[in-house]
Amino acid sequence: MILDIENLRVSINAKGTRTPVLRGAHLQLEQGKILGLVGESGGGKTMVCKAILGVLPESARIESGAIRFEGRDLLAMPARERRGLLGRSIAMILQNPMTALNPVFRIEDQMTDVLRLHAGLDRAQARARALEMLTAVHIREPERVLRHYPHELSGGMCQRVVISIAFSCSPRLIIADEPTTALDVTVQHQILRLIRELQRKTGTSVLFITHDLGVVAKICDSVSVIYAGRILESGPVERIFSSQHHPYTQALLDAAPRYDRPDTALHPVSPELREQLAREAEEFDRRVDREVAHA
Amino acid sequence: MSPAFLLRRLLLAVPTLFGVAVVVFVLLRIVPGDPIAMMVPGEATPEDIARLRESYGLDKSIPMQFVIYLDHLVRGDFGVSISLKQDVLTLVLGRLPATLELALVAITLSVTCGFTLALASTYWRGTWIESGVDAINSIALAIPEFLWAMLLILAFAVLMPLFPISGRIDPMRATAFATQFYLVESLVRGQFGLARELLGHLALPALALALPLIAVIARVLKSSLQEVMVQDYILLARIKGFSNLRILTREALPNALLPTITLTGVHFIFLVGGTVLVELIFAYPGIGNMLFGAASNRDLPLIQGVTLVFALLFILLNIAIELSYALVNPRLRH
Amino acid sequence: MRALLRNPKFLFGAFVLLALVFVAAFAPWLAPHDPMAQSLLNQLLPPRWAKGGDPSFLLGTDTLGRDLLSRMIHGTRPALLVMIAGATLSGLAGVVLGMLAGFFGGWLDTLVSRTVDTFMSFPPMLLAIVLAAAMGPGLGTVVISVVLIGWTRFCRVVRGEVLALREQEFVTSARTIGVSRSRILFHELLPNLLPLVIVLLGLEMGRAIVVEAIMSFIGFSSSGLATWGSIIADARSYINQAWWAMTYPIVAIIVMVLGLNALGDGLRQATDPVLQR
Repeated sequence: MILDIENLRVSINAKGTRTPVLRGAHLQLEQGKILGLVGESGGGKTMVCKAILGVLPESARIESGAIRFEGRDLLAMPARERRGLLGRSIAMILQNPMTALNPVFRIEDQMTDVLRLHAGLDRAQARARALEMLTAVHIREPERVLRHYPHELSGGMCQRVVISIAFSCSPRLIIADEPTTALDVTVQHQILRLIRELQRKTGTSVLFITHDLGVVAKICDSVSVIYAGRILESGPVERIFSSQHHPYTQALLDAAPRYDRPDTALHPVSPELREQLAREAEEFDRRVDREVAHA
Repeated sequence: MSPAFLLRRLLLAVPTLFGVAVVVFVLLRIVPGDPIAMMVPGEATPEDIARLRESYGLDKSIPMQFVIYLDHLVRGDFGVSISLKQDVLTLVLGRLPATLELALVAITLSVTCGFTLALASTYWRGTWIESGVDAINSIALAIPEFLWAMLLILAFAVLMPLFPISGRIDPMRATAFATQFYLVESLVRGQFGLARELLGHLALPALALALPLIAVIARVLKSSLQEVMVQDYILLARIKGFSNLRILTREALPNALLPTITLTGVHFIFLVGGTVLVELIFAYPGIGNMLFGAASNRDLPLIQGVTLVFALLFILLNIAIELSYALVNPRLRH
Repeated sequence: MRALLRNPKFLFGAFVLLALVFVAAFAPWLAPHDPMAQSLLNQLLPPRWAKGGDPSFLLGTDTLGRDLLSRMIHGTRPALLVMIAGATLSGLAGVVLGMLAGFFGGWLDTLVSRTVDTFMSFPPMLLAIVLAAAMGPGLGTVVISVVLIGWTRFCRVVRGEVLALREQEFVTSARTIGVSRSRILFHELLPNLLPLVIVLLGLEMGRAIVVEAIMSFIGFSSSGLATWGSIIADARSYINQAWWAMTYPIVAIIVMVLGLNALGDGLRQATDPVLQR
């Protein structure tokens, strides 16, 4: 188990009101596997990955739970040591490649800085490694791309660069936050295939965040469904797709575009189901509050 | 930034300079008043006055005077000062280095302090340091530089005499210099005692000039930094494992520079323009102080000369600001 | 109106302004001495409460033995005059030009906008000095400098506002039913601009006070008057003997500037919904 999140509760405190965003989330990612975390926007997906990386907004507070990375609780770790893991052991692929790269630096600087910091390479070695990585993500003229600024590259190219940065220090865990959402459909497929390919080659574990069950079916080994800060269902991909256990998962499946049958109509999640889930979430909050009061 | 671009910018400066020359020339002559009458002693005969007027070319019609003036300008002849009886260009060039050193020290001071304040209040966001910087900023902005100069005189010259309040250097020691760039020269020669004396004289006028700009830079840079700090690439830098200080100075700062330069550019020009008043207040012998003398004596050639030099300074400063845009923004570099 | 009376910034600003008007109006009665009367027996007296102070010279005297309190009191008159005349005239010039440029557009707009840009790229002090050199010293010169420096601020803001208002329904509909241009300008646009202009006037008055102080400090104001700037200029020369003489006018100007800024801010806050329309 490379990543084991247990009962993670996070709330946002703004203007005196406390809004829970994660209500006791559980998540398990096995070594060398891809776990899909599926849900709608606002469901808590991004909070999970920010909590893992320790970049939660200032107004957010972790109320309880543990995030164990290779058996060690990140939340109990000294800040300095925890930051030492970032880039070296844990990396991330961001959603929008066009904003993920610093616009004032050449690609070369943005690829080599992390290598020089974490892998202890000198300028020439880092450059050689960067070229190697760009070739690995199937960029044809890596020498030329290194000299470019981000605004001179297409979205797909930028995402390849971001992916190569994520994989360059051979991290043991990569968090991919909707890495294809901002891209054209044709490019989406290439990027998915690329992530899968690199993951197989390096054996890195990936936490893949998406709102699209179709994508999950293509790339993930297992899947967790999150709604309103709660994990509704977890399991191997085949099981989720063969027999649904939770109505929300079914609704998400209905809402996902069917790549095999493009003519079928999409069914948005019904208001009744949303209401029921909201009621459940409130119920859950009340129960937790009671428990906290007793303890 | 290509040489061709620079050349084009410099050529564009010619009509601007011409415009300034016209406006100042006309402004100085539409109003009645005779500079010659002011300079001659009471017992001068009308013939004496007429002769003097002729020698300064003031007996001709105004358009004719302007044509002659332009003709001389093109040949690098700025005319002869009526009150000081010397070549205007020599006079102005002799005083210009003092003003340039003052402006340069003030700009260095405002950029250093402005950046430090902005970076500190971003790094320590939400602490008392941020509130302190904000408070300093609003005070510095609310009070104009004229009053700052006076307050500085009261504070650091009278109540707590740390710095001299007038002049540039003890005149006895001024003879030691080969050039008019006293500060630069003393630093180059390694005469740090002299440099310290010069800086002591510069401290208050430079601070009076710098304070409003410090506040402007700190405020603009701070808000640009805060905009940049929530960008995705900063998140990526965090995830790369960089320290907060490195993220702030190496990743965020270069991106925050561009809006800062755009929004503060015109204030640098105001700072250079502000030297005029500050030089007078601190009796600092630059071209600003010279302009006052010229204005009180209605020394038309000297006024024209100094304003043209100021206009040229502003144009060069504008070009420098544009060059710095290109320097910090890769999108403009090609 | 009620919002205004509850706004502390506005109240502070209004108080400062009213105090200035009051002192200026009754200066001859309030001042204990003639501001110009010299007395060689009473040179450089410290303020009354300090050691060696004379009870009849509350704030002390300058090198010529003139009463500083009386000079400060009479100094409110040129300050108030320049403030009101300068701010009103620059407001008038800026609003008229800004409205015309924004409403008619075309070459007129280009001309006005280019002129504003030129003025704003030139440091104001330089302009004022060249002007003073041309016109000679005097209160008129000071007022005109304030106007030359200040009109661009009104012009730019008003032009932008008119550009925005011009496209709004009540103007376009007035135009389609054939209301004359001058009627639209004065009856439709002007009332909508008024709150904005009032705020700008408040800010401009603060700037005018400073310009007046600077010009009289330099000696470009009327030499026969006691002004705050001239008190500073005199005090600057004997600062090592009597530092307090410089403090009064500086404090007075700073209070005026802060007060008038607060007045503008308060007005802006209280009329905000109007401005945001």
